[in-house]
Amino acid sequence: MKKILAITLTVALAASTLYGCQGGLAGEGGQTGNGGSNETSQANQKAGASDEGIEESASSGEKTVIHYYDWAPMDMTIIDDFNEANPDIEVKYHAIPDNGSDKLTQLDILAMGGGEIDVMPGSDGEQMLRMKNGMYAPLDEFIQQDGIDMTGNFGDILNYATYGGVTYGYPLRSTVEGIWYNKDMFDDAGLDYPDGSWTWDEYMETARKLTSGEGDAKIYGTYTHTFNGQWAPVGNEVSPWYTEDGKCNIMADGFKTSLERRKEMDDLGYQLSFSQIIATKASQASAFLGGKCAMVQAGSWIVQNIKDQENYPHDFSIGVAPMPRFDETVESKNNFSVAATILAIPANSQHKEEAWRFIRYMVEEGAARIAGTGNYPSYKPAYNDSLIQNFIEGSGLEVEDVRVLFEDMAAVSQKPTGLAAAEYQQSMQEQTQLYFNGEKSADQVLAEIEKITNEAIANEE
Amino acid sequence: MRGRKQKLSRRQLQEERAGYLFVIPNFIGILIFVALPILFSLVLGFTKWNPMHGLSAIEFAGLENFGRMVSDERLKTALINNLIYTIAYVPISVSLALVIAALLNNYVFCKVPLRLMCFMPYISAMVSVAYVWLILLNPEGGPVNSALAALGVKSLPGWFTKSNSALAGIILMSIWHDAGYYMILFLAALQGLSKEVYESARVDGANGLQAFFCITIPLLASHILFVSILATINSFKVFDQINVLTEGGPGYATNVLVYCIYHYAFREHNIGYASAAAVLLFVIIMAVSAIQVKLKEKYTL
Repeated sequence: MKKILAITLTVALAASTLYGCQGGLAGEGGQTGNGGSNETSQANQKAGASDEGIEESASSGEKTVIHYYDWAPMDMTIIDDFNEANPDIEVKYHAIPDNGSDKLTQLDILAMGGGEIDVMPGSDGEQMLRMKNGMYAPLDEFIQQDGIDMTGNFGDILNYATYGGVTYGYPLRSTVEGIWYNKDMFDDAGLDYPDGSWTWDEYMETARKLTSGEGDAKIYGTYTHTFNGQWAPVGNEVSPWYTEDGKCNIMADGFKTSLERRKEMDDLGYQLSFSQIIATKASQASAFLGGKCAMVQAGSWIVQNIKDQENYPHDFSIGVAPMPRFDETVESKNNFSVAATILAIPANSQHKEEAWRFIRYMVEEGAARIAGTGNYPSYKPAYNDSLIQNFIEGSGLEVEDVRVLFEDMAAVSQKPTGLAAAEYQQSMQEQTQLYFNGEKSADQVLAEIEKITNEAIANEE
Repeated sequence: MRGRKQKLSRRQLQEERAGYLFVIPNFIGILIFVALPILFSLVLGFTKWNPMHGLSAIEFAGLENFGRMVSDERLKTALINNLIYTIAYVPISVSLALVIAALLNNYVFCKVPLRLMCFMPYISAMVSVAYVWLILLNPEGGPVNSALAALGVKSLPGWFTKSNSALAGIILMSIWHDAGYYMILFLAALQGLSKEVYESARVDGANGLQAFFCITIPLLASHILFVSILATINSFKVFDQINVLTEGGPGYATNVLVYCIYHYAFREHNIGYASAAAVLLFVIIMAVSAIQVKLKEKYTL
């Protein structure tokens, strides 16, 4: 008896500590979504998700409270103005810390637990898993009702808002990723500033010329971060993420070549190697704005860091160019790697109608002020010089420097957003590390990604 | 039973009631926060559940989750990694703690500051400790590899950047972090040992080493076992440092059970499967604890 008691107590102790551990998920999180098969029934979710909120909307004079969570810097006047213009709704804004993918986990738990949350952002391609799992309410009904021209409003980033043909999000902020460069270093080296016509070979040659010094004083030609798929967008110019019959296309020439080129640039010492970025927890902003590299592949969000002279002091001028062309065969349009953060309504929100009204206001009316926080607004009809001026206000950049980010572009992406996106992304992250650190060959890791993804696609179909 | 109860006086009954009243809050706490979740996750292990659709969306799935485990590379690697971690971490950290405790209990000058220094890592937050170790173990130019290179080591470990050394880095860091705590536990036990035994041993001509192996270790046997159980449980709990440093990578190299469960629950939203993995962890810890309790009965004085 005593024995059993002792065992039970030990186990209870173990279990309670383990549960304690699960409850307090602190620190930085993993990068992306999913690794195995998740076979939740999609049909169920789609049927159940859409009707509830609409019935309850704005029935009497009472105020409906909408809870909006976000991690990005917020211009509170958008929310105040909305509340003023809509006396029947009160939006309550809750800021959460921007810490890797744990921020999404925090929102997941709120939404899963049926907490008070009516508007939530989804980003970094991780929204695809949440769309698949039925976390968000479908928005198509609202979009039709309001007669919104989604393509006109958002263009090429819409695939970050839809899954399996259903729209689950209204794009709020975009990441437009190109090559940011230190103009002073280009001038010193006697190099012309790049534009959308440059090819990958020219990019590598530029990086070579800009690399100088040794040891701690070394200045790298460029910088490619360890974020999932940072190596991929140039490959995506010539190879789509999926084959025509909807299978994983990672073995295509575009991806294989760009994977190999990233490693080649590491090995040639033109950029901080993948392993060194992991070992030193380097970041794009601190490397580039700290003058440790002459170019950096980074999203439009880096404007926030450029504005932040306190944490990223720098005194050189900066420009931005599109991603290089894969080779001469790619048309000389401006290629940017794009992604979007959407606003979505949790499927079990009680106030979907009101939440939708707020989302439209936030995205459309708020565009110029979102730009003011250094975020790139997704809503195209609002683009004009004064919005661009808002976007770069206080950064030392000129409107002409960044205009290319707001013009017509050819959009590529660094991550797949279609079927089994979560598994596809997760396996990319886990496998490519093993290529970059020299443990496996490119063919081996790409074959593994293909295998995992195709299994997941088969499961989903 | 009834017979005994009838004999209780009114006052005894009141006392008994008071006793139960004192126990109840704790009992309820354990019931709600420990026992029920364990039972619930045990049940969930046999289901498919998308928590977005509430409790009614729980579907019974039989042994499907456990079937998936058999062919799950991620989980298999996690099990193996956890085993390696435990086998390396428990004996090294416990014996290190014991040796330091024995030394600090007796011979050393400046005992108190030294004890404090040994205990410091434990009270530092794991996340900040992890960052310090990241710098220490930087494969290019980090202090550890520089020292190894100066000693003439040719193939330097890549630590957190390579599959073959990432787990070793995590183990090293965890031992450094936790050994101080186990040391304090041993120190407390050592203070309780009577001096006479050591004195008579010295009279008989035993040196320090002999005293350590023939007196200290046998007398502390039950404490050593207790600390080992604690360390084993801790070794199955490892999560923070992995989440901060490697996120289970490179590949699956530092993927351990708890991180795996976290991955299934919060990265895949596959609560059923995550619960099944948690059940597996529960069974493993129960088995290990049972063995250790058995050992305790057999070997303690």
